[in-house]
Amino acid sequence: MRINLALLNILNDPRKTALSVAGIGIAILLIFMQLGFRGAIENTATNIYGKLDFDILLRSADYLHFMDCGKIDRDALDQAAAMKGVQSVNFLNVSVANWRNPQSGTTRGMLVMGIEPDESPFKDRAVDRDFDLLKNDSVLLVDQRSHPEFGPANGQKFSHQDIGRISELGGKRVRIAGLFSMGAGLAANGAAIMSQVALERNVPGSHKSRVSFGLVKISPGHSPAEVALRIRDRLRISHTQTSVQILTRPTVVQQELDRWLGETPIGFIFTLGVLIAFVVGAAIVYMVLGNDVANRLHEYATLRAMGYSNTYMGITVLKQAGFLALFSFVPAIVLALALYWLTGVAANLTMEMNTTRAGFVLLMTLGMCGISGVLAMRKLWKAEPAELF
Amino acid sequence: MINEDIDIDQLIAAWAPQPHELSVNVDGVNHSYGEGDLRKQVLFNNRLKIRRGEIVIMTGPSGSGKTTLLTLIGTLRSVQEGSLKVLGTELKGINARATTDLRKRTGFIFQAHNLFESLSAFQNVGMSTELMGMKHTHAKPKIEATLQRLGLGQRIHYKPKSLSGGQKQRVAIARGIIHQPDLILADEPTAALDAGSGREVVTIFQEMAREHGCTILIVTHDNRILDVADRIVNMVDGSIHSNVLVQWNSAMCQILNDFPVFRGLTPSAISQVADMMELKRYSPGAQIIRQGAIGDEFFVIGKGVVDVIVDGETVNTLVDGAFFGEVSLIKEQPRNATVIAKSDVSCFVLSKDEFQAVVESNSTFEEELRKAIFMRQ
Repeated sequence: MRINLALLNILNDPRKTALSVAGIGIAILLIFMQLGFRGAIENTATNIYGKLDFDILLRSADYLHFMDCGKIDRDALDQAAAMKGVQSVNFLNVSVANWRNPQSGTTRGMLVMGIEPDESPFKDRAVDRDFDLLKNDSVLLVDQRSHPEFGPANGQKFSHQDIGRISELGGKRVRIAGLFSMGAGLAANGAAIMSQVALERNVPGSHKSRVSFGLVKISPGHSPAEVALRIRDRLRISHTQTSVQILTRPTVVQQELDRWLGETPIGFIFTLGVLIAFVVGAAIVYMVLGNDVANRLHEYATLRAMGYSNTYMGITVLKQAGFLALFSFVPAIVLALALYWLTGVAANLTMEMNTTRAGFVLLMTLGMCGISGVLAMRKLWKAEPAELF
Repeated sequence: MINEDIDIDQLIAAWAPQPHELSVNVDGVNHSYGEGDLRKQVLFNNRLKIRRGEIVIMTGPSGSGKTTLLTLIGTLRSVQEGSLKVLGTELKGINARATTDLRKRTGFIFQAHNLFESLSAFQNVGMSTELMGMKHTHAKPKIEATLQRLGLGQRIHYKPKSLSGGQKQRVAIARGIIHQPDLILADEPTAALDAGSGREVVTIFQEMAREHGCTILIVTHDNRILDVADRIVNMVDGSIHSNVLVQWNSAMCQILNDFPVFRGLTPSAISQVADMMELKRYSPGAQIIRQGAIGDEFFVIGKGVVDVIVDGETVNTLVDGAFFGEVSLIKEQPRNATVIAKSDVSCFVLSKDEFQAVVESNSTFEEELRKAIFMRQ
């Protein structure tokens, strides 16, 4: 049973250690929250694509984001459908139309998706809904995860109470025929699904000869990249390829992440948040350890006089840093889980803890404490055994 | 004649140890602090030989350099000038690894305890045994027994902040001796202790010195423990002012007391004279003094046989404890006989100048009395 000097040093003053652990823990919690927000944004940004059923996406070269996506000729979809390896091609039309809040009468821009009720562009069960409801005229399905400002009957969330209510979309009367649950992403606060026919009636300029997205499914045994290349070659011949982007699923997701996290300041803000939390945490650890080493300088000098090596002393400081890291990480991750849950409830943002993130933050914590430990170690060399007598 | 209690062989050995018997050999050590204009020399040309197993008590006013010398011997400072050998290793220009090795063979006892605040008494002592690679099962009973012996049996698992000053001091002592070091360097180890535990500590020191040949150097002003010293070294102003091998000195005093020429000297003066005696060795056939030569040295035969020859005729044979040449201490006269060693001869020699210096600087009986009365105030 070896004497664990580092652990005993940490435990010697529980009150001081608790304070240190609280400080470091808050820094770790901040890192968790920043990463959580960032993760929530990633999820939200790509959520809609995750629900659409496609291997290759055709969309306009003018595409900016889901609500400002431009249009392509339906013709391009027909050409793609004829290519070898293509199993089916479907479409999705996206528009933004003014929705009148049935409670207050104010209007809000709502994302409206037009589909053929017989041929759902969504993955099975992704938008767990029977689209037969849309076969009636002037009806829509409303997203339960729409913001309350769109006027749900109970003031918080669209529910069964809202089915059958009448409102206006694009200035024309519509009836809420049902609900779905999707989450419209970062650009829109609310979403609805209509049949293509109804969309054309409510939103001018939604003719089915021009669509927002072409959703290509490929036959088994073909590679999406190859098929995409083939479609690109075919469209080049018909001179429409310059206005059409042909993208595989991973590229679509990546481009969406790049746009929200790279081109907008959002990603930067959270990365900066993580960095600041890291630096603050490291500063706290450095202060705690530096103080501890300074207070125990004569003890370290004694170790040196006894014949303990510099390595032993350095490792003792690093081990103290490691214990601080672990002791701080545990309460921080518990609190983070609680706050993720709370944020999910309060802000309608899905924040999920996963092992990758937990592991990453643990590594960051160890890194934070390690760096500070090494810096604090420099004070060790001041331990002068000749001063002991 | 020499008192039968005195072992002349041991005296000679103690007085002139062989190099391999030396635990510490300080030779011409100078030391300064500071740089440039602020440079201040604190040690001046110090010489000190300590035999293995010797207990040395070092005294002297504060600022006299005792502590500096102690830290130099303990490898806690690097040697600037001169030679300093500890446990057979030259410390001047020593590398880090050898330093660590030497430190492991040394037990430090600091006046300020310097205990590890987070560790219990047991663990504090355990830091020493762990460093030596001692197994816990082996070390545990040893640590407990040592703490028990130092009267800390009830406090084994207390942390320093729950111990009194004296208890902390005893834990520090246990930590300094538990690993059976070859050299113990202690700074006022008994200052915070009551008479009983102070005595126990020095008894332990004596056992370590006798049974394990551990060399012990104690800086102290505690005159309760002077009796354990084999050697008392007094430092003044950065140099060793006196270095007295106690046993040798007292034996020599006994010898000198028998001579009429030293009557009337106070005990301290005789001790000073004894301290000035030098050991000289002669091989068989060597001429120690020559008839007719001017002599200024007084000889006591420590061991050996000599012939006294007057005008070519052997008139006497002298053995251990006999003396010759005493007249030369008082008067300058040519030698009236030749003395030749018949066997290996070790003589203790006192020169006239040194003897005269002692006599002159020595106070009379009355002066001594005045001093004693003055000190009482």
